[in-house]
Amino acid sequence: MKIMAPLLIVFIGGMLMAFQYYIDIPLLNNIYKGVLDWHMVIAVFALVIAVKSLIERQWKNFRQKTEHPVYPLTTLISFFTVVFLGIFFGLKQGSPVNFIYNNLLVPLQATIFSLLAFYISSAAYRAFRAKNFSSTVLLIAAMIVVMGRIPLGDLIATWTTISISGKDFAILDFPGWTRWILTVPNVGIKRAFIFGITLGIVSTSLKVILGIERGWLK
Amino acid sequence: MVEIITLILMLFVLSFLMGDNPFFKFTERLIVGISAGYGFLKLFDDGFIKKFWIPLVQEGQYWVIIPGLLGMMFFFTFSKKWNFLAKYPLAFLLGTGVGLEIGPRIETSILRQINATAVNFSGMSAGQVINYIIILVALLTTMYYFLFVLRRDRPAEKLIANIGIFFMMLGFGASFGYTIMGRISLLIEVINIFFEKITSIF
Amino acid sequence: MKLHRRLVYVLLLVFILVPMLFGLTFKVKPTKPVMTFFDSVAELSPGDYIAVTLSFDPSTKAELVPMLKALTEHVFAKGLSVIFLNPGSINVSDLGFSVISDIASKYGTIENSDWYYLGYVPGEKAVYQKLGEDLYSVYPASMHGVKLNSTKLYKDVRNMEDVKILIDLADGNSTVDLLTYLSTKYDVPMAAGVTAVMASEYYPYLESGQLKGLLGGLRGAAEYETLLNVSGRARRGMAAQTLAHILIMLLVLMGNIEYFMAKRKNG
Repeated sequence: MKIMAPLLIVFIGGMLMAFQYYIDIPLLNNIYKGVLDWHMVIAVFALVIAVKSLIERQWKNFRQKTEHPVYPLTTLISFFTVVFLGIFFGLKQGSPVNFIYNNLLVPLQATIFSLLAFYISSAAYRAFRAKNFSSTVLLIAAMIVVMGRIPLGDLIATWTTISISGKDFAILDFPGWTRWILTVPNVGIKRAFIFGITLGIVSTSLKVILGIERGWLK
Repeated sequence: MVEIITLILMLFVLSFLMGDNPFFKFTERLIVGISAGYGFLKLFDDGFIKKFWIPLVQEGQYWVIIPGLLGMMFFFTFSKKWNFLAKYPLAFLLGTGVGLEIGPRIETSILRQINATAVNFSGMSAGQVINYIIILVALLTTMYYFLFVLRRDRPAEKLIANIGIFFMMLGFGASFGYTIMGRISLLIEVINIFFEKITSIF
Repeated sequence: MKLHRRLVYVLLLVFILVPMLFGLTFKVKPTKPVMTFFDSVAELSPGDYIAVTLSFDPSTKAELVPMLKALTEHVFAKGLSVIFLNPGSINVSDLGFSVISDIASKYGTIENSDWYYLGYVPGEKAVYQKLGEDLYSVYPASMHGVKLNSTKLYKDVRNMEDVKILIDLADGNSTVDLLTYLSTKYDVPMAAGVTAVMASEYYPYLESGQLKGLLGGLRGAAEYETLLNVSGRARRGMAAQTLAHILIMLLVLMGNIEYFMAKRKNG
């Protein structure tokens, strides 16, 4: 029962929703609309799990002293402070939570991500080597796109443009080469990836519906 | 005052470039807490209040009680004995979710993409025809490389796989070239924020 | 000579700071994906409805806020009616609203009459599909609680099939999800503005015509600003981008020269 009931729900729900895409029956259509409404309400409560795991993990780190207790405490205190401020003062523009959002959350998240700019420059110097044929192709394509996406690439193309029998032709046409790489070989390989990913999603979906994939029950 | 605090915390984050340190760790954890708290409040306000409480209490839409009760079964994750009941709402979300996914995914990402690959050459210039053939070759060789990984001993098959690798490297190179711009943009933004904060202090 | 990691960091900072301090701007040449994006908005008539989904986190605002600004300027200048919503990202609501309301006050457009900010609703993929059925069962009210059944929107738009185009500004997979659950299923024309990291992934959808246009990263936003003839943050950022890109190329070159010299030395 503990396993059968959820499996049955998944099977019936999955089958009904999979078929409704192909079969136009009013009843099935109404069920579809109802299911979408239910999803929105149920998703609200799924949040409990996320909050639970965050608090549980931080509390465990604090109790077991796997790291300096200041760090899990910082997370817990900042979490509860924001929550209490929100409950007492609301979330409107100008509220304390909105103030924290604008002055701490937004700039600090942006700063964390900006570290990646430094790492990519360091990686360009230390790891981007033409070691064999494949890495040389990768490097050349990357450098063409790098030049093709900056205004200097446009300028170089203009400077090196010559006229052959009335037709303009750029010798170093980085933007043109970039466009070609992106719209021709890139489209081919990304399309292959899209096929692979989509077939993977569809087959996993079928495995879930048929009860072959049961990892989510653990 | 708050500008100074923001600037100091931003510097704490950037201090990670010198290696992991307590200042960075503190700020990182602070962001995690604030972000989770903000997310929780938003979900409570935009979700629980607007999608459950207001329809139920103010608008008399009693149907929300049923999915609401199903959603509340998530609370059973807190109990060791009744833990299995929390799987029921999950089963509903998962089952109907994957069911809803199959048809539209196949149509959007397989059928329409095949349609765009299998084009009619009539009326096209020679250049366009060559480009479409290259797209097709890149597509087929890449798929070959991933789907038929077992037989690499035959020279012809090795050649096909190598052509696939060549196109993939072109594509990955293009992605990498693009990525550089994305990463630099993030740093430009942070410098902009720095300028703004410093200007507002003085 | 080996460059120390920290020296590389300092060089990068210098190469970005110098053009920013001098306020250099570059003109960028618009590319086809941006022009088709621009045209699909430009060809609409005043009063037509478009929907803009904000599906990004504040962490990627560097690339997506310039796009949002340029697009909002364009649609307000054209007198289009706009529905802004962010069902794909919970954290962007306040940021998006403040950006849009700033531009609205510049153009004198009025919230809940010329434009609507609907905010976040949980359920992502279910929300995308329900938007194709009935907008008001998903959003009975705006983000700030104004009932939509008392607005002009309620008379004009039943669901997303009634908008002329849906534009997704995204840093993740939401564009594919919107294409899958909304655009394909309910036949809603769609265009997207995405981060540079994601841009190359969307070319197959652009080439197949499923996306009417594509803005990729800060360059995409700068091209849009050029087409609009405004000098925003994206165009100002392109000077710093140019120098930073040149530095990266020099670093790659130096790294490779060192590599080949070391290889020759070791035989």
